[in-house]
Amino acid sequence: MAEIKKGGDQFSSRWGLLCTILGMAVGTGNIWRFPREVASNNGGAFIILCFLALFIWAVPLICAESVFGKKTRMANAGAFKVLLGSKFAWVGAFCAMVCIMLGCYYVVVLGWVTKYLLLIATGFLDAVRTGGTEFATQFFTDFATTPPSYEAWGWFVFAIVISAVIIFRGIQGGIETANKIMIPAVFLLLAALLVRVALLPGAWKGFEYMYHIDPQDFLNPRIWLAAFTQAAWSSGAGWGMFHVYYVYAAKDEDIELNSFTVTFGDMVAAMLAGMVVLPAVFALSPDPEAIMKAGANGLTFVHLTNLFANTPGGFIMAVLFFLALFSAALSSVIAMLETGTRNLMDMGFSRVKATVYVAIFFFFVGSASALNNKVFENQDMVWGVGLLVVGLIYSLASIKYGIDRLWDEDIAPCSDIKVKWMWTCIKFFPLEFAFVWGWWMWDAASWYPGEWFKFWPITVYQYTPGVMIFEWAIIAIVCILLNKFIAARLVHTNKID
Amino acid sequence: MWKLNMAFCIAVGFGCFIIAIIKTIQAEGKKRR
Repeated sequence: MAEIKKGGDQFSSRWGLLCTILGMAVGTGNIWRFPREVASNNGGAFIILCFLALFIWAVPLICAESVFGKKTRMANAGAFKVLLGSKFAWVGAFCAMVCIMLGCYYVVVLGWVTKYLLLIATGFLDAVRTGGTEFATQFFTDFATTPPSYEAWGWFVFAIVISAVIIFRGIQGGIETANKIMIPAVFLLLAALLVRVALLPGAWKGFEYMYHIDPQDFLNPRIWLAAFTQAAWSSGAGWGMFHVYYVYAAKDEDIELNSFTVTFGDMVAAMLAGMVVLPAVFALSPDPEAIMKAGANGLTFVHLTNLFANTPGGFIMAVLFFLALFSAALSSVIAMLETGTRNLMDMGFSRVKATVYVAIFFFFVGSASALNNKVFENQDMVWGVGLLVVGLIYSLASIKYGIDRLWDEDIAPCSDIKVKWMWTCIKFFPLEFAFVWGWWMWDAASWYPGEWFKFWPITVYQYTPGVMIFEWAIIAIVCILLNKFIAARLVHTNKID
Repeated sequence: MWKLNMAFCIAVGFGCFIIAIIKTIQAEGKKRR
């Protein structure tokens, strides 16, 4: 059992924890992925299936992660060691590493958004108004997707520094304070944008496109897959980051109600973003469907920027939109950095040293993604699908420890809602995983007929099942080899009393 | 039909979030008392 270290960190209140975990969940997945997914999956049925996925995928997984953090007051590797035994410390370390690898490329997006926020504040929309879509496309291509993208790399470094400064300041002084400002701001900014967009002539066509429903869509497995993937990637369920934040939760924290709140808060942010982006595109663009198919980067950095440039009051709309995107992305990067930091703190490192080491790791690993967009796209696929594996690990760990035991010991005694079925859905997660993960792997294999197993160079075989297994295997092997060393050092819990 | 679905989705999404926030406020109030 872990040694007790006096005087740990803790969130100042339940609202502090809620804002922080909402900050982790609300990210670019809500603001630029959800509207695009709604558009490409035929609207209404997709949204209803997302609700179903929230209940049977997101809520139980968030509960599973949270209970591991609250029960052990240790991050991923330490919790697996304490609950399942020393030989399982590497499994927790693997979960943390997948999340950290995700952070290494996600911080590149934060750099892009920071640059665009500054550009828009300094008159970029005037240039876009003159040059049109061609100018906006060329600008983004030169800035971010033509290797070596030195300028994007510079903004990537700046984004790491901003995030590390917040982590340095600790839980209450840094992470909680930042999220208490940024998360209400995201909701308010999106609500303000919604009011402005709804007043545009023709905006109703966007609402109709978003909510129209075709009963046949409920029989389309691709729409089910898209809805469950959206729930997984947007809510952040089963990534190991809720786990880390619950290390700092109060002893009587209500895991079940908080999981429900954050899951639906995340969905509300996504719906607000959908009701801003789709009506704006439909009201302002002559060819809305082409814009929605332009991909995340094209939609945000080219087409929306162009639409804002050509709309009365577009400057304010663009500033609000990019501020919301910046806040959402930063609050998610903070969670990824804190995952690495807390795991190192459990091994005896001070917060300052741990933050510096994790930031250096982000810098070296993420630089490849910042400089070369093909590496970025590879990392996005590999670690995005890898997160589903982390979800499976948490569900299997919960089953191994005992679903009823966790409910009786840790969830029910502190729950104000006590809806047991929402938690026990965790036992069906391996089946849900087999469907979603299996489909992704099958799909990826079909993009490379006869070459699905190839993995090198990763800039050529960006999305093959071979490259995914290759990169996951490297991380898993390193964690297994270091298991004894890691397990021996994991003795520092965040005990408050 | 799309208007009905819009009302349904907003009621479920925003409704569940608002109910959860109200439950949290009630729980925190109880704790303080």
